[in-house]
Amino acid sequence: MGKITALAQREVGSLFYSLIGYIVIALYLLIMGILFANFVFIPGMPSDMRMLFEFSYIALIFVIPIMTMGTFSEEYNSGRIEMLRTSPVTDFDIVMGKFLGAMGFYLALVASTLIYLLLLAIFGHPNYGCVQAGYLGLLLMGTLFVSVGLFFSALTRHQIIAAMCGIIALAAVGFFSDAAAERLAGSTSAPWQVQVVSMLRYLSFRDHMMGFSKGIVEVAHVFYFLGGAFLFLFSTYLVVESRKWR
Amino acid sequence: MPEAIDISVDRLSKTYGNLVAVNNISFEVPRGTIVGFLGPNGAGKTTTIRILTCYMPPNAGSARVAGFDVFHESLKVRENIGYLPESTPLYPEMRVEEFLHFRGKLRGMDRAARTKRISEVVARCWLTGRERSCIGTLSKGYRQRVGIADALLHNPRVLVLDEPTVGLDPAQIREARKLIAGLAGDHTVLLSTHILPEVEMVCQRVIIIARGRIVAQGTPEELKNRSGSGIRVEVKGPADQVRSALKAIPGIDTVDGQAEGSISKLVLRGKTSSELREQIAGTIAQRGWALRELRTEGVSLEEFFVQITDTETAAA
Repeated sequence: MGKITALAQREVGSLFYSLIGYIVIALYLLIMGILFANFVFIPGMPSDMRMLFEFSYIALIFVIPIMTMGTFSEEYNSGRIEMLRTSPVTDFDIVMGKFLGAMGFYLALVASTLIYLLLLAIFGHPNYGCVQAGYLGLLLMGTLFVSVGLFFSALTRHQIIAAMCGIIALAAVGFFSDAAAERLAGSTSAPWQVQVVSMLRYLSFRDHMMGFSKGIVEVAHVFYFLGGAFLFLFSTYLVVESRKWR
Repeated sequence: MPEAIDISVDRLSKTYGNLVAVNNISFEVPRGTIVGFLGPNGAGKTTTIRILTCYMPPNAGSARVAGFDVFHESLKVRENIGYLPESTPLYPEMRVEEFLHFRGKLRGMDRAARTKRISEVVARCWLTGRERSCIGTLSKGYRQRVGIADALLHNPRVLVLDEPTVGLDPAQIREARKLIAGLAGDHTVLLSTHILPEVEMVCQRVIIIARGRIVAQGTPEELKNRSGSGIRVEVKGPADQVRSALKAIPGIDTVDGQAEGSISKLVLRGKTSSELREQIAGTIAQRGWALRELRTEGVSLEEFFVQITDTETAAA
Protein backbone atom coordinates (compact mmCIF):
# COMPACT_ATOMS: atom_id res chain seq x y z
CA MET A 1 0.00 0.00 0.00
CA GLY A 2 2.84 2.31 0.80
CA LYS A 3 4.11 2.09 -2.75
CA ILE A 4 0.78 3.13 -4.27
CA THR A 5 0.63 6.04 -1.83
CA ALA A 6 4.13 7.10 -2.80
CA LEU A 7 3.27 6.98 -6.50
CA ALA A 8 0.00 8.86 -5.95
CA GLN A 9 1.71 11.55 -3.88
CA ARG A 10 4.29 12.08 -6.57
CA GLU A 11 1.61 12.30 -9.24
CA VAL A 12 -0.40 14.93 -7.35
CA GLY A 13 2.73 16.90 -6.62
CA SER A 14 3.72 16.83 -10.25
CA LEU A 15 0.30 18.09 -11.37
CA PHE A 16 0.42 20.94 -8.88
CA TYR A 17 3.94 21.81 -9.96
CA SER A 18 3.29 21.87 -13.68
CA LEU A 19 1.72 24.70 -15.64
CA ILE A 20 -0.86 22.33 -17.11
CA GLY A 21 -2.40 21.81 -13.68
CA TYR A 22 -3.08 25.51 -13.24
CA ILE A 23 -4.32 25.99 -16.78
CA VAL A 24 -6.78 23.19 -16.14
CA ILE A 25 -8.01 24.76 -12.91
CA ALA A 26 -8.34 28.16 -14.56
CA LEU A 27 -10.27 26.77 -17.53
CA TYR A 28 -12.57 24.83 -15.29
CA LEU A 29 -13.31 27.79 -13.04
CA LEU A 30 -13.87 30.00 -16.06
CA ILE A 31 -16.58 27.75 -17.45
CA MET A 32 -18.13 27.04 -14.08
CA GLY A 33 -18.05 30.73 -13.27
CA ILE A 34 -19.95 31.59 -16.43
CA LEU A 35 -22.53 28.91 -15.61
CA PHE A 36 -22.83 30.15 -12.06
CA ALA A 37 -23.22 33.79 -12.98
CA ASN A 38 -25.80 33.17 -15.70
CA PHE A 39 -27.88 30.35 -14.35
CA VAL A 40 -27.56 30.32 -10.61
CA PHE A 41 -26.49 33.55 -8.99
CA ILE A 42 -29.44 35.61 -10.14
CA PRO A 43 -31.64 37.51 -7.72
CA GLY A 44 -34.99 35.82 -7.41
CA MET A 45 -33.78 32.36 -8.51
CA PRO A 46 -33.80 29.52 -5.99
CA SER A 47 -30.41 29.02 -4.34
CA ASP A 48 -29.97 25.82 -6.18
CA MET A 49 -26.72 24.47 -7.63
CA ARG A 50 -28.54 22.15 -9.95
CA MET A 51 -27.55 23.91 -13.15
CA LEU A 52 -23.93 23.80 -12.18
CA PHE A 53 -23.96 20.06 -11.65
CA GLU A 54 -26.03 19.34 -14.71
CA PHE A 55 -23.78 21.26 -17.05
CA SER A 56 -20.40 20.75 -15.45
CA TYR A 57 -19.71 17.95 -17.92
CA ILE A 58 -19.16 20.62 -20.55
CA ALA A 59 -16.12 21.83 -18.65
CA LEU A 60 -14.93 18.41 -17.60
CA ILE A 61 -14.97 16.94 -21.09
CA PHE A 62 -12.17 19.33 -21.98
CA VAL A 63 -10.47 19.76 -18.66
CA ILE A 64 -9.93 16.18 -17.52
CA PRO A 65 -8.27 14.78 -20.67
CA ILE A 66 -5.90 17.74 -20.59
CA MET A 67 -5.16 17.09 -16.94
CA THR A 68 -4.41 13.41 -17.51
CA MET A 69 -2.71 13.66 -20.89
CA GLY A 70 0.79 13.54 -19.52
CA THR A 71 0.33 10.86 -16.91
CA PHE A 72 1.65 7.99 -18.99
CA SER A 73 2.65 9.78 -22.15
CA GLU A 74 5.36 11.79 -20.41
CA GLU A 75 6.76 8.70 -18.77
CA TYR A 76 7.09 7.00 -22.15
CA ASN A 77 8.52 10.10 -23.75
CA SER A 78 11.16 10.80 -21.16
CA GLY A 79 12.26 7.21 -20.63
CA ARG A 80 11.13 7.33 -17.03
CA ILE A 81 8.92 4.34 -17.69
CA GLU A 82 12.11 2.32 -17.70
CA MET A 83 12.94 3.53 -14.23
CA LEU A 84 9.42 2.73 -13.00
CA ARG A 85 9.33 -0.67 -14.64
CA THR A 86 12.64 -1.75 -13.16
CA SER A 87 11.58 -0.76 -9.65
CA PRO A 88 9.99 -3.34 -7.37
CA VAL A 89 6.45 -2.17 -8.14
CA THR A 90 3.79 -4.06 -10.04
CA ASP A 91 1.91 -2.67 -13.04
CA PHE A 92 -1.16 -2.61 -10.83
CA ASP A 93 0.69 -0.37 -8.35
CA ILE A 94 1.67 1.98 -11.15
CA VAL A 95 -1.84 2.29 -12.60
CA MET A 96 -3.52 2.64 -9.20
CA GLY A 97 -0.93 5.17 -8.07
CA LYS A 98 -1.46 7.34 -11.13
CA PHE A 99 -5.23 7.03 -10.88
CA LEU A 100 -5.34 8.01 -7.23
CA GLY A 101 -2.94 10.85 -7.87
CA ALA A 102 -5.12 12.20 -10.68
CA MET A 103 -8.20 11.81 -8.49
CA GLY A 104 -6.47 13.74 -5.76
CA PHE A 105 -5.94 16.63 -8.12
CA TYR A 106 -9.53 16.33 -9.33
CA LEU A 107 -10.74 16.60 -5.75
CA ALA A 108 -8.88 19.87 -5.41
CA LEU A 109 -10.45 21.01 -8.67
CA VAL A 110 -13.95 20.21 -7.48
CA ALA A 111 -13.27 21.71 -4.06
CA SER A 112 -12.63 25.05 -5.74
CA THR A 113 -16.35 25.24 -6.56
CA LEU A 114 -17.19 25.31 -2.88
CA ILE A 115 -16.90 29.06 -3.16
CA TYR A 116 -20.16 29.05 -5.10
CA LEU A 117 -21.79 27.13 -2.30
CA LEU A 118 -20.46 29.66 0.14
CA LEU A 119 -21.92 32.53 -1.85
CA LEU A 120 -25.27 30.80 -2.04
CA ALA A 121 -25.21 30.14 1.69
CA ILE A 122 -24.55 33.81 2.39
CA PHE A 123 -27.32 35.08 0.16
CA GLY A 124 -29.83 32.27 0.32
CA HIS A 125 -30.75 28.91 1.77
CA PRO A 126 -29.36 26.09 -0.34
CA ASN A 127 -30.64 22.60 0.24
CA TYR A 128 -27.55 20.85 1.58
CA GLY A 129 -28.88 17.36 0.90
CA CYS A 130 -29.24 18.16 -2.77
CA VAL A 131 -25.83 19.74 -2.84
CA GLN A 132 -24.25 16.66 -1.34
CA ALA A 133 -25.90 14.46 -3.94
CA GLY A 134 -24.71 16.81 -6.63
CA TYR A 135 -21.11 16.69 -5.47
CA LEU A 136 -21.27 12.91 -5.22
CA GLY A 137 -22.40 12.78 -8.83
CA LEU A 138 -19.60 15.14 -9.79
CA LEU A 139 -17.04 12.94 -8.09
CA LEU A 140 -18.37 9.80 -9.71
CA MET A 141 -18.41 11.40 -13.12
CA GLY A 142 -14.87 12.57 -12.50
CA THR A 143 -13.82 9.00 -11.68
CA LEU A 144 -15.12 7.88 -15.04
CA PHE A 145 -13.57 10.75 -16.97
CA VAL A 146 -10.19 10.36 -15.27
CA SER A 147 -10.08 6.66 -16.15
CA VAL A 148 -10.87 7.49 -19.76
CA GLY A 149 -8.14 10.12 -19.76
CA LEU A 150 -5.62 7.70 -18.27
CA PHE A 151 -6.51 5.06 -20.83
CA PHE A 152 -5.74 7.33 -23.74
CA SER A 153 -2.59 8.57 -22.07
CA ALA A 154 -1.35 5.00 -21.72
CA LEU A 155 -1.91 4.33 -25.40
CA THR A 156 0.48 6.89 -26.80
CA ARG A 157 3.67 8.77 -26.07
CA HIS A 158 2.24 11.95 -27.55
CA GLN A 159 0.37 13.94 -24.93
CA ILE A 160 -1.58 15.98 -27.44
CA ILE A 161 -2.97 12.88 -29.11
CA ALA A 162 -3.95 11.46 -25.75
CA ALA A 163 -5.76 14.68 -24.86
CA MET A 164 -7.50 14.93 -28.23
CA CYS A 165 -8.66 11.33 -28.22
CA GLY A 166 -9.96 11.72 -24.69
CA ILE A 167 -11.85 14.88 -25.55
CA ILE A 168 -13.30 13.40 -28.73
CA ALA A 169 -14.38 10.19 -27.01
CA LEU A 170 -16.06 12.01 -24.15
CA ALA A 171 -17.59 14.64 -26.42
CA ALA A 172 -18.97 11.98 -28.75
CA VAL A 173 -20.78 10.35 -25.90
CA GLY A 174 -21.68 13.53 -24.07
CA PHE A 175 -22.94 15.63 -26.94
CA PHE A 176 -24.05 13.11 -29.50
CA SER A 177 -25.23 10.02 -27.75
CA ASP A 178 -28.49 11.62 -26.74
CA ALA A 179 -29.07 13.21 -30.11
CA ALA A 180 -28.30 9.94 -31.88
CA ALA A 181 -30.74 8.15 -29.64
CA GLU A 182 -33.43 10.75 -30.37
CA ARG A 183 -32.99 10.50 -34.12
CA LEU A 184 -33.03 6.75 -34.18
CA ALA A 185 -35.96 6.53 -31.79
CA GLY A 186 -38.11 8.41 -34.30
CA SER A 187 -37.56 5.97 -37.13
CA THR A 188 -37.57 2.58 -35.43
CA SER A 189 -40.08 -0.02 -34.51
CA ALA A 190 -38.33 -3.40 -34.48
CA PRO A 191 -37.43 -4.65 -30.99
CA TRP A 192 -33.68 -4.90 -31.71
CA GLN A 193 -33.63 -1.34 -32.92
CA VAL A 194 -35.35 -0.23 -29.76
CA GLN A 195 -32.62 -2.04 -27.83
CA VAL A 196 -29.90 -0.17 -29.72
CA VAL A 197 -31.58 3.11 -28.94
CA SER A 198 -31.83 2.28 -25.26
CA MET A 199 -28.16 1.19 -25.24
CA LEU A 200 -27.14 4.51 -26.74
CA ARG A 201 -29.24 6.23 -24.15
CA TYR A 202 -27.57 4.25 -21.42
CA LEU A 203 -24.14 5.32 -22.54
CA SER A 204 -24.90 8.96 -22.09
CA PHE A 205 -23.50 10.21 -18.84
CA ARG A 206 -25.70 13.27 -18.95
CA ASP A 207 -28.71 11.12 -18.24
CA HIS A 208 -26.95 9.44 -15.37
CA MET A 209 -25.84 12.73 -13.92
CA MET A 210 -29.35 14.15 -14.07
CA GLY A 211 -30.47 12.29 -10.97
CA PHE A 212 -27.53 13.50 -8.88
CA SER A 213 -27.99 17.11 -9.88
CA LYS A 214 -31.60 16.94 -8.79
CA GLY A 215 -30.55 15.57 -5.46
CA ILE A 216 -31.43 11.92 -6.02
CA VAL A 217 -28.87 9.21 -5.49
CA GLU A 218 -29.81 6.13 -7.44
CA VAL A 219 -27.62 3.07 -7.08
CA ALA A 220 -28.03 2.20 -10.74
CA HIS A 221 -26.36 5.44 -11.74
CA VAL A 222 -23.57 4.93 -9.20
CA PHE A 223 -22.89 1.58 -10.83
CA TYR A 224 -22.79 3.15 -14.26
CA PHE A 225 -20.01 5.50 -13.26
CA LEU A 226 -18.05 3.03 -11.17
CA GLY A 227 -18.48 0.25 -13.69
CA GLY A 228 -17.32 2.49 -16.49
CA ALA A 229 -14.34 3.63 -14.45
CA PHE A 230 -13.41 0.04 -13.69
CA LEU A 231 -13.64 -0.87 -17.36
CA PHE A 232 -11.27 1.89 -18.41
CA LEU A 233 -8.88 1.36 -15.53
CA PHE A 234 -8.64 -2.32 -16.29
CA SER A 235 -8.04 -1.51 -19.94
CA THR A 236 -5.32 0.91 -18.91
CA TYR A 237 -3.71 -1.83 -16.85
CA LEU A 238 -3.81 -4.17 -19.84
CA VAL A 239 -2.25 -1.58 -22.12
CA VAL A 240 0.54 -0.81 -19.65
CA GLU A 241 1.23 -4.47 -19.04
CA SER A 242 1.24 -5.29 -22.74
CA ARG A 243 4.00 -2.78 -23.46
CA LYS A 244 6.67 -5.01 -22.06
CA TRP A 245 5.94 -7.69 -24.60
CA ARG A 246 6.60 -5.49 -27.58
CA MET B 1 34.23 -23.02 -1.53
CA PRO B 2 32.30 -22.51 -4.77
CA GLU B 3 32.18 -18.91 -5.91
CA ALA B 4 28.76 -17.34 -5.62
CA ILE B 5 27.41 -16.32 -8.98
CA ASP B 6 25.37 -13.16 -8.92
CA ILE B 7 24.41 -12.89 -12.57
CA SER B 8 23.96 -15.95 -14.73
CA VAL B 9 22.64 -15.85 -18.24
CA ASP B 10 21.76 -19.05 -20.07
CA ARG B 11 21.12 -19.15 -23.82
CA LEU B 12 19.31 -15.84 -23.75
CA SER B 13 17.65 -14.61 -26.94
CA LYS B 14 15.55 -11.61 -27.83
CA THR B 15 14.08 -10.61 -31.16
CA TYR B 16 12.28 -7.46 -32.14
CA GLY B 17 10.09 -8.63 -34.96
CA ASN B 18 12.58 -9.88 -37.54
CA LEU B 19 15.63 -8.37 -35.92
CA VAL B 20 17.55 -10.71 -33.64
CA ALA B 21 18.98 -8.41 -31.01
CA VAL B 22 20.40 -11.02 -28.67
CA ASN B 23 21.32 -14.40 -30.03
CA ASN B 24 21.73 -17.26 -27.62
CA ILE B 25 24.19 -15.70 -25.18
CA SER B 26 25.45 -17.22 -21.95
CA PHE B 27 27.75 -15.82 -19.31
CA GLU B 28 28.27 -15.70 -15.57
CA VAL B 29 29.38 -12.98 -13.21
CA PRO B 30 30.81 -14.02 -9.84
CA ARG B 31 29.86 -12.09 -6.75
CA GLY B 32 31.81 -8.96 -5.98
CA THR B 33 33.35 -8.46 -9.41
CA ILE B 34 33.06 -5.51 -11.69
CA VAL B 35 32.36 -6.71 -15.21
CA GLY B 36 32.70 -4.53 -18.26
CA PHE B 37 30.07 -5.14 -20.89
CA LEU B 38 31.42 -3.91 -24.20
CA GLY B 39 30.17 -3.85 -27.71
CA PRO B 40 29.64 -1.68 -30.75
CA ASN B 41 26.39 0.22 -31.08
CA GLY B 42 23.48 -2.05 -31.82
CA ALA B 43 25.30 -5.09 -30.47
CA GLY B 44 22.61 -5.99 -27.98
CA LYS B 45 24.11 -4.54 -24.80
CA THR B 46 21.13 -2.42 -23.81
CA THR B 47 18.72 -5.20 -24.72
CA THR B 48 20.57 -7.68 -22.52
CA ILE B 49 20.65 -5.16 -19.70
CA ARG B 50 16.95 -4.50 -20.06
CA ILE B 51 16.26 -8.20 -19.79
CA LEU B 52 18.45 -8.51 -16.70
CA THR B 53 16.72 -5.58 -15.02
CA CYS B 54 13.28 -7.02 -15.84
CA TYR B 55 12.25 -4.22 -18.14
CA MET B 56 11.39 -6.75 -20.83
CA PRO B 57 11.20 -10.53 -20.97
CA PRO B 58 13.46 -12.67 -23.19
CA ASN B 59 12.15 -14.67 -26.12
CA ALA B 60 14.19 -17.71 -25.19
CA GLY B 61 16.63 -18.78 -22.51
CA SER B 62 16.78 -17.61 -18.95
CA ALA B 63 18.68 -15.33 -16.64
CA ARG B 64 19.17 -15.27 -12.92
CA VAL B 65 20.18 -12.20 -11.00
CA ALA B 66 21.02 -12.18 -7.29
CA GLY B 67 19.71 -15.72 -7.14
CA PHE B 68 16.28 -15.01 -8.64
CA ASP B 69 14.94 -15.75 -12.10
CA VAL B 70 14.18 -12.57 -14.07
CA PHE B 71 11.01 -13.94 -15.56
CA HIS B 72 9.45 -15.92 -12.76
CA GLU B 73 10.68 -13.93 -9.76
CA SER B 74 10.81 -10.53 -11.34
CA LEU B 75 9.78 -8.56 -8.26
CA LYS B 76 12.52 -10.16 -6.16
CA VAL B 77 15.12 -9.41 -8.79
CA ARG B 78 14.06 -5.78 -8.88
CA GLU B 79 14.32 -5.53 -5.12
CA ASN B 80 17.96 -6.60 -5.30
CA ILE B 81 19.11 -4.60 -8.24
CA GLY B 82 20.17 -1.00 -8.68
CA TYR B 83 19.92 0.24 -12.26
CA LEU B 84 21.14 3.39 -13.94
CA PRO B 85 19.72 3.52 -17.49
CA GLU B 86 21.61 5.23 -20.28
CA SER B 87 19.22 8.16 -20.43
CA THR B 88 19.31 8.77 -16.64
CA PRO B 89 15.58 9.38 -16.34
CA LEU B 90 14.73 11.65 -13.46
CA TYR B 91 11.85 13.94 -12.50
CA PRO B 92 13.07 17.49 -13.16
CA GLU B 93 10.48 19.07 -10.92
CA MET B 94 11.52 17.14 -7.84
CA ARG B 95 14.29 18.04 -5.45
CA VAL B 96 17.16 15.60 -5.02
CA GLU B 97 16.20 14.66 -1.48
CA GLU B 98 12.52 14.38 -2.41
CA PHE B 99 13.37 12.15 -5.33
CA LEU B 100 15.53 9.86 -3.23
CA HIS B 101 12.79 9.60 -0.60
CA PHE B 102 10.33 8.69 -3.34
CA ARG B 103 12.63 6.00 -4.69
CA GLY B 104 13.19 4.68 -1.20
CA LYS B 105 9.47 4.41 -0.61
CA LEU B 106 9.08 2.47 -3.84
CA ARG B 107 11.60 0.00 -2.51
CA GLY B 108 9.74 -0.44 0.73
CA MET B 109 12.21 1.40 2.96
CA ASP B 110 10.76 3.00 6.09
CA ARG B 111 11.42 6.62 7.02
CA ALA B 112 14.29 5.95 9.40
CA ALA B 113 16.10 3.68 6.94
CA ARG B 114 15.54 6.16 4.14
CA THR B 115 16.87 9.15 6.00
CA LYS B 116 19.97 7.26 7.07
CA ARG B 117 20.73 5.80 3.63
CA ILE B 118 20.06 9.08 1.85
CA SER B 119 22.66 10.90 3.90
CA GLU B 120 25.09 8.04 3.23
CA VAL B 121 24.64 7.95 -0.53
CA VAL B 122 24.59 11.73 -0.80
CA ALA B 123 28.02 11.80 0.83
CA ARG B 124 29.30 8.90 -1.26
CA CYS B 125 28.15 10.41 -4.56
CA TRP B 126 29.47 13.87 -3.79
CA LEU B 127 26.00 15.42 -3.70
CA THR B 128 26.41 17.17 -0.35
CA GLY B 129 24.91 20.62 -0.43
CA ARG B 130 22.68 19.81 -3.40
CA GLU B 131 19.96 17.90 -1.58
CA ARG B 132 17.47 20.75 -1.87
CA SER B 133 18.19 21.57 -5.52
CA CYS B 134 15.59 20.85 -8.15
CA ILE B 135 16.87 18.12 -10.41
CA GLY B 136 15.95 20.17 -13.45
CA THR B 137 18.53 22.78 -12.47
CA LEU B 138 21.42 20.35 -12.11
CA SER B 139 24.13 19.79 -14.69
CA LYS B 140 24.52 16.45 -16.43
CA GLY B 141 27.31 15.45 -14.09
CA TYR B 142 25.20 16.03 -11.01
CA ARG B 143 22.22 14.30 -12.54
CA GLN B 144 24.37 11.28 -13.24
CA ARG B 145 25.39 11.29 -9.59
CA VAL B 146 21.76 11.44 -8.51
CA GLY B 147 21.13 8.43 -10.73
CA ILE B 148 24.00 6.54 -9.13
CA ALA B 149 22.80 7.57 -5.67
CA ASP B 150 19.38 6.23 -6.56
CA ALA B 151 20.90 2.94 -7.73
CA LEU B 152 22.89 2.60 -4.50
CA LEU B 153 20.11 3.71 -2.18
CA HIS B 154 18.83 0.34 -1.05
CA ASN B 155 22.29 -1.19 -0.98
CA PRO B 156 21.51 -3.75 -3.67
CA ARG B 157 23.66 -6.76 -4.28
CA VAL B 158 23.82 -6.14 -7.99
CA LEU B 159 24.34 -2.85 -9.80
CA VAL B 160 23.76 -2.37 -13.49
CA LEU B 161 25.19 0.84 -14.91
CA ASP B 162 24.55 1.66 -18.55
CA GLU B 163 27.16 4.16 -19.79
CA PRO B 164 27.43 6.04 -16.52
CA THR B 165 30.19 8.40 -17.59
CA VAL B 166 28.81 9.54 -20.93
CA GLY B 167 28.47 13.32 -21.15
CA LEU B 168 30.62 14.05 -18.13
CA ASP B 169 33.62 16.31 -18.19
CA PRO B 170 37.06 14.75 -17.57
CA ALA B 171 37.16 15.64 -13.88
CA GLN B 172 33.71 14.21 -13.32
CA ILE B 173 34.62 11.08 -15.26
CA ARG B 174 37.58 10.50 -13.00
CA GLU B 175 35.43 10.85 -9.90
CA ALA B 176 32.75 8.57 -11.29
CA ARG B 177 35.32 5.88 -12.08
CA LYS B 178 36.74 6.15 -8.60
CA LEU B 179 33.27 5.70 -7.23
CA ILE B 180 32.57 2.68 -9.39
CA ALA B 181 35.92 1.05 -8.70
CA GLY B 182 35.25 1.48 -4.99
CA LEU B 183 32.12 -0.61 -5.29
CA ALA B 184 33.99 -3.84 -5.97
CA GLY B 185 33.69 -6.51 -3.32
CA ASP B 186 30.57 -5.17 -1.69
CA HIS B 187 28.52 -5.15 -4.86
CA THR B 188 28.52 -6.99 -8.15
CA VAL B 189 28.63 -4.44 -10.95
CA LEU B 190 27.75 -4.85 -14.61
CA LEU B 191 29.15 -1.82 -16.36
CA SER B 192 28.14 -1.21 -19.95
CA THR B 193 30.40 1.24 -21.71
CA HIS B 194 32.11 2.32 -24.89
CA ILE B 195 35.11 3.76 -23.17
CA LEU B 196 37.80 1.10 -23.25
CA PRO B 197 40.40 2.73 -21.04
CA GLU B 198 37.67 2.90 -18.42
CA VAL B 199 37.21 -0.84 -18.67
CA GLU B 200 40.92 -1.46 -18.20
CA MET B 201 40.98 0.82 -15.19
CA VAL B 202 37.89 -0.32 -13.42
CA CYS B 203 36.85 -3.81 -14.48
CA GLN B 204 38.13 -7.16 -13.38
CA ARG B 205 36.44 -9.00 -16.21
CA VAL B 206 35.30 -8.08 -19.69
CA ILE B 207 32.53 -9.46 -21.87
CA ILE B 208 32.47 -8.31 -25.47
CA ILE B 209 29.25 -8.61 -27.41
CA ALA B 210 28.76 -7.93 -31.10
CA ARG B 211 25.73 -8.48 -33.29
CA GLY B 212 23.91 -10.22 -30.50
CA ARG B 213 26.62 -12.76 -29.72
CA ILE B 214 29.39 -12.89 -27.17
CA VAL B 215 32.69 -12.77 -29.00
CA ALA B 216 35.12 -12.64 -26.11
CA GLN B 217 35.21 -13.06 -22.36
CA GLY B 218 38.00 -12.83 -19.83
CA THR B 219 40.15 -10.50 -17.81
CA PRO B 220 41.49 -7.44 -19.64
CA GLU B 221 44.98 -9.00 -19.51
CA GLU B 222 43.85 -12.26 -21.05
CA LEU B 223 42.10 -10.48 -23.88
CA LYS B 224 45.04 -8.27 -24.68
CA ASN B 225 47.39 -11.25 -24.79
CA ARG B 226 45.06 -13.21 -27.00
CA SER B 227 45.46 -10.89 -29.91
CA GLY B 228 48.95 -12.07 -30.52
CA SER B 229 51.06 -9.19 -29.39
CA GLY B 230 54.62 -8.96 -30.53
CA ILE B 231 57.99 -9.06 -28.87
CA ARG B 232 60.25 -6.23 -29.77
CA VAL B 233 63.90 -7.13 -30.10
CA GLU B 234 66.90 -4.97 -30.90
CA VAL B 235 70.04 -6.99 -31.53
CA LYS B 236 73.54 -6.15 -32.64
CA GLY B 237 74.80 -8.82 -34.95
CA PRO B 238 74.90 -10.08 -38.58
CA ALA B 239 71.37 -9.31 -39.89
CA ASP B 240 70.58 -12.53 -41.78
CA GLN B 241 71.92 -14.84 -39.12
CA VAL B 242 70.00 -12.98 -36.42
CA ARG B 243 66.80 -13.33 -38.41
CA SER B 244 67.14 -17.04 -39.10
CA ALA B 245 68.27 -17.84 -35.58
CA LEU B 246 65.27 -16.09 -34.07
CA LYS B 247 62.88 -17.60 -36.58
CA ALA B 248 64.17 -21.02 -35.62
CA ILE B 249 63.03 -20.63 -31.99
CA PRO B 250 60.00 -22.90 -31.47
CA GLY B 251 56.86 -20.82 -30.90
CA ILE B 252 57.85 -17.93 -33.10
CA ASP B 253 55.67 -17.57 -36.19
CA THR B 254 56.91 -14.48 -37.94
CA VAL B 255 59.84 -12.16 -37.75
CA ASP B 256 59.28 -8.67 -39.11
CA GLY B 257 61.38 -5.57 -39.13
CA GLN B 258 64.54 -4.15 -40.61
CA ALA B 259 68.22 -4.15 -40.06
CA GLU B 260 70.33 -1.02 -40.20
CA GLY B 261 73.85 -2.19 -40.68
CA SER B 262 74.51 -4.48 -37.78
CA ILE B 263 71.53 -3.35 -35.70
CA SER B 264 68.39 -5.39 -36.29
CA LYS B 265 65.13 -3.98 -35.02
CA LEU B 266 62.64 -6.81 -35.19
CA VAL B 267 59.13 -7.63 -34.04
CA LEU B 268 58.55 -11.30 -33.35
CA ARG B 269 55.03 -12.67 -33.33
CA GLY B 270 53.91 -15.95 -31.95
CA LYS B 271 52.52 -17.40 -28.80
CA THR B 272 53.35 -14.95 -26.13
CA SER B 273 54.77 -16.35 -22.97
CA SER B 274 57.52 -15.36 -20.60
CA GLU B 275 59.53 -18.45 -21.54
CA LEU B 276 59.66 -17.17 -25.09
CA ARG B 277 61.39 -14.04 -24.03
CA GLU B 278 63.85 -16.08 -21.98
CA GLN B 279 64.52 -18.31 -24.98
CA ILE B 280 65.12 -15.32 -27.20
CA ALA B 281 67.50 -13.80 -24.70
CA GLY B 282 69.22 -17.15 -24.30
CA THR B 283 69.64 -17.69 -28.05
CA ILE B 284 71.10 -14.24 -28.56
CA ALA B 285 73.51 -14.65 -25.66
CA GLN B 286 74.56 -18.10 -26.89
CA ARG B 287 75.52 -16.76 -30.30
CA GLY B 288 77.43 -13.93 -28.68
CA TRP B 289 75.34 -11.10 -30.03
CA ALA B 290 74.50 -7.99 -28.04
CA LEU B 291 70.93 -7.69 -26.83
CA ARG B 292 69.94 -4.05 -26.77
CA GLU B 293 66.17 -4.30 -26.16
CA LEU B 294 63.69 -7.03 -25.35
CA ARG B 295 60.10 -5.99 -24.71
CA THR B 296 56.59 -7.40 -25.00
CA GLU B 297 54.52 -5.07 -27.05
CA GLY B 298 51.06 -5.14 -25.57
CA VAL B 299 48.15 -4.61 -27.85
CA SER B 300 45.69 -2.27 -26.23
CA LEU B 301 42.23 -3.43 -25.40
CA GLU B 302 40.98 -1.02 -28.01
CA GLU B 303 42.99 -2.80 -30.69
CA PHE B 304 41.67 -6.13 -29.58
CA PHE B 305 38.13 -4.80 -29.48
CA VAL B 306 38.31 -3.41 -33.01
CA GLN B 307 39.90 -6.63 -34.30
CA ILE B 308 37.38 -8.90 -32.74
CA THR B 309 34.31 -6.89 -33.58
CA ASP B 310 35.55 -6.39 -37.13
CA THR B 311 35.90 -10.11 -37.64
CA GLU B 312 32.47 -10.63 -36.25
CA THR B 313 31.00 -8.03 -38.59
CA ALA B 314 32.90 -9.53 -41.49
CA ALA B 315 31.79 -13.02 -40.63
CA ALA B 316 28.14 -11.99 -40.28
